[in-house]
Parts: sequence; C-alpha cells; structure tokens
Amino acid sequence: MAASRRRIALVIGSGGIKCAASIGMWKVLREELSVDLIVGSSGGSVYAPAIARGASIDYMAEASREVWTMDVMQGYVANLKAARGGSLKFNERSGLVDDSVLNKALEKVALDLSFSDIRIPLKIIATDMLSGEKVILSKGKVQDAVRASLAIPLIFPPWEIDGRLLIDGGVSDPLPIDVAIQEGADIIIAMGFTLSYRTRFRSMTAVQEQLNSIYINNILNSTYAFYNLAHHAEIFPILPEFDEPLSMFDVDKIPAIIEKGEEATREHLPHIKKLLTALD
Amino acid sequence: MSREDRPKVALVIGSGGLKCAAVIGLMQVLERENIELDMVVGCSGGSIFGAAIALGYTPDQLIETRKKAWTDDITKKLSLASILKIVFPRIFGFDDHIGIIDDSIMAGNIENTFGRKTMFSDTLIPFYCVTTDFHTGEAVVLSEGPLARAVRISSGIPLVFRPIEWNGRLLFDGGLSNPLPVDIAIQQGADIIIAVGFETPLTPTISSPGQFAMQMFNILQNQLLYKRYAFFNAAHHSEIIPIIPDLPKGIKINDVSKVPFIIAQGKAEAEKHIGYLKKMLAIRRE
Repeated sequence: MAASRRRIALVIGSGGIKCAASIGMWKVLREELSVDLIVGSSGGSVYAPAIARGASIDYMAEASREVWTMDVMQGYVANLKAARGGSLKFNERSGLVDDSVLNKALEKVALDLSFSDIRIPLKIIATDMLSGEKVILSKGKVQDAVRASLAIPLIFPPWEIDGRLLIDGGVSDPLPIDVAIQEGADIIIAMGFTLSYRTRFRSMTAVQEQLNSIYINNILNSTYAFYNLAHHAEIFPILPEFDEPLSMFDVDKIPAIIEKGEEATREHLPHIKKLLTALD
Repeated sequence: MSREDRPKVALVIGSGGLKCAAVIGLMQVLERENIELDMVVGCSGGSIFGAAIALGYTPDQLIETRKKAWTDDITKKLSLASILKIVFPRIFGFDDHIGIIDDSIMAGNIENTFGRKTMFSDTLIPFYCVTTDFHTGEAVVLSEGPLARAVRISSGIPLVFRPIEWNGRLLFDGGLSNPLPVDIAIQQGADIIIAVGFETPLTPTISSPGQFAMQMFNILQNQLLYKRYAFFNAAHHSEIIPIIPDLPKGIKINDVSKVPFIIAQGKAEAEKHIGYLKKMLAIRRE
C-alpha cells in the first residue's frame, strides 16, 4: 500500500485588502503542491473559495477590485452622522452601510456555488455576535458564509445563518490555524496580517479602530505563540510586511499587494519544499 | 521555613471590573490557611486589589479599600471636554486623550486610598501593574514609581476613562493586551500561580452603535483571554491554579451593593481549589 500523502492546509487570516496577498501566495504554491483544505477568515474568506475552486489569478485580482472598492461603503457617511446625532435606530442586526453593493460584489466571488460544489474542502470562519464564539461554516451557499465572515462590526450588518447572527471571523479567530489542526492537516501554510496602528486621532471612529487593532494584534501574537509551541503539524506562518499603511480601499495597490504576497511566500518556499520531500 | 526555601507563590488578578472584588474572598481563605504570597500581578480592576494586597492589607482592610476606592459615583461625572470633542471633533480638536467620564472622582479615590506619595517600593511584596500602550498596543508592566497613578492607568477602560502619560508613553487599560497576566508571574520566577480571571459578559440585545462596539470589544477581550491562557498553560513551568468565580452577567462597575455577594462567590471558588493548592505547596517543599 502506498503511503498516504501528507495533508496540506492553507489558512488565510483577516486583514482586509491586504488579504489580496494570498493571490500572490497561491501563484507561487500552485506550482509546487496540491492543497487538501483551505480555511479563510474575514478578508481571507474572499480568497479561500476562489483558490478552492481553481479560479485564475487574473480573476481573483479582478474580483478583489470589486470587493474592496469604496462603493461598498454606500450610505456610511449619512448613517454615521445620523448615529452621532442620535436619530439612527440601531440594533444587533444593524450596520452603518447599505450592504447591497458588497453583496453584489460577492456574487462574483462565490458564483452561486455551494460548499458541496467545491472539490477542495473549504472552511469559512465567522463569529456569533451574541455568544462571541467562533463559528466554522462549511455547508450551504458559499456567498452567505463569505458575507458573514466579512461583516465588519458597525460597518456591515451581521448576517444570519441557521438562526445565528454572525459577524467578522477576525473577531474570534483572525488566523484560524486551529481549524486546520482540528481537520487533521499535517502541514499548514498560514498567511496572516497584523493591523496597522494610527498615529493621528481625529474622531471616535479612529479610536475605535485603534482599540480593535490592539485587540486583534494581541490575539494574533498569542495565536502564533501557542501554535508554535503546542501544535502537532508543521506550521509556516507567512506574514507579508507592507512599507506603508494601506487604507481599506486602496484598490490601485492590489498589484503591489499581490507581489508582496508572492515575495513573502518565495522566502518560505525552500523550507516548505524541504519538508514536503522529507515527508513523502 | 524561611521565605527563600519555600516555593514562590504569585497571585494574578485579571481584568474584571468590580468582579475583581472576588479576590477578597480568596484572601480570606489564604489568610485562614496561613498561605503567604510572594508577589502580586494586577490588571485593570484587579490592579486596585493587587496594590492593596502587595501593601499587606488584611482581608478586612481590603473590604475597606474597596469602599474607599470603588464608590458608586465613579462614573457619575461626565467629561464635558471629551463629549464636545466627540460630537464636534473638528471644532474642539479631537485627540487621543478621550474618556467620556471625568476621572477625577476615581483618581481621587485611588489616591486617598493608597496615598499620593506611596510608591511601588513601599509594597511588602513585589507588585506588577499591567497596562497597554495606546499607540503600539503592547502590554506595559509598571513596577516602579507612584502606585496610585499606575493603578488609575491600569483601570482606564477605553473611551470611558482617558489614557494617561507615563514616562512619555500614553497608557491605558491592561485588559486590551493582557487581561490575565500569568506570564508576568512566570517571568518573575513564580512556582505556583493563583490566577483569578473573569470573562467579560456579552449582551443579548443591542440598541445603539456604542453598544455594538462594546459587544465587539468584549468578544475580542474574551478571545484574547482564552488564547493567552491556553498558551501559558501549555508553556509554563509553574503550576497555574485558575480561580474563575461563578458570577452572573450584568455586574456593572458601580454595582457596589453586590460586593458582599461577589466576595462570597470568590471565597466559594477559592474553597474548591484550596486543597489542591496546599498539596502543591507540600510537593514543592520537598
């Protein structure tokens, strides 16, 4: 009996538009290995299904432009003003943005596919906003899962799946290495992103963003520390570094972001290949 | 047995607002059992009790400390300057020193309790006070300088109380970087760590953007707590004894009438672990 091949997982963490770097990662890796599992959280959930279903690099770059366009923020300014003035009704299902543009863009990402239509197992991470728990989505429509995983609190309204109100996967698990381990991966290639800190604070929104970044970066650091120490699989964390802070909608920088992802992946490639050879 | 020969015992009190008063119940049990501490680490609400314990206060004195430092009016006075900056950010010059509650009552209480001139060096056993750098997100551990000021900084819930400058860094609530700082006790050479920690309760309904943001921050803090705790449980060489008192949701920072109940719950939880702690002490002594 032939020895079973080692199971390889790709994990793409939260990081907004920076997650486009995973296109560059895939550009490098698809030549070298085949993947048995893909996990995406928040911004990473945009790319996980595209890689899993074998979308082309160009298609992924094009879809990125549509997801991270300023247009998805439709209604934000007016709603934020209304919220400040106290005239906006807000509850656990609300967001400051009208999400119709985002939903339209996600059609291009998910193509009306169900999880069961995709050959490579795919897991999308979201957060239950009432219990705070991590939720692993792996059935039903891919678009629903991506939409839930991308529901940045206060910006996009939460998304309901099976009676649970779901928000951004980055809030509970910004780099879901744990999910890949639970699924039995032997080799885990995990692309993660630290959030940048602000230097100027001109509004309450800026302070809230800062608090969010502090929490998420500390969670990320603890995640690495834990899995470096405790895991049973081989984990390659790929953390592309960006010289300048990127705004959420710097679509013109997408080619540069993809290139960064490619570079960062190439640095790890010799180690990944060595391990693959050793294990085969 | 002299202090040098026996295992070093650390008490870590995590972030938890008024719930941190549960540590008084634990201290009642430790006093009864003649268990001495060698160091204390405190974060956020836990730093008030941590400082008092490091100063050698008895459980009865801790109850008095709570009454003096943590009155029900600490959130009563709004900071008009901050509110104007939030509502009219351009006109009043929004900056990073925002806190919607005027912190003078809280800061005054803490100073009156510990004394304005009391320093970290005045504590009987070492005390480490965990804060967070507002600009870099790093945990910053304070262990020298004015004690009351450090405690005030560590308890500086974001957006509620303003961050404060300390040696050129803008610092606030330790809960954002290290809500249950067992790692500090490990670094300081503790053999046995009693860690009193609290989850932040979530709310089932939301009726404003502010509440929505709070829910998100509370989820994040809980996730940070679990991830860090998992790491230190896997990584440490010392024994960590977690004391997680059973407390209902909805204890607000000014719910001082609930303190006797909180203390009783802390004591009940401590009683469950005291047998194990004594066993650990005995083993480590051999």
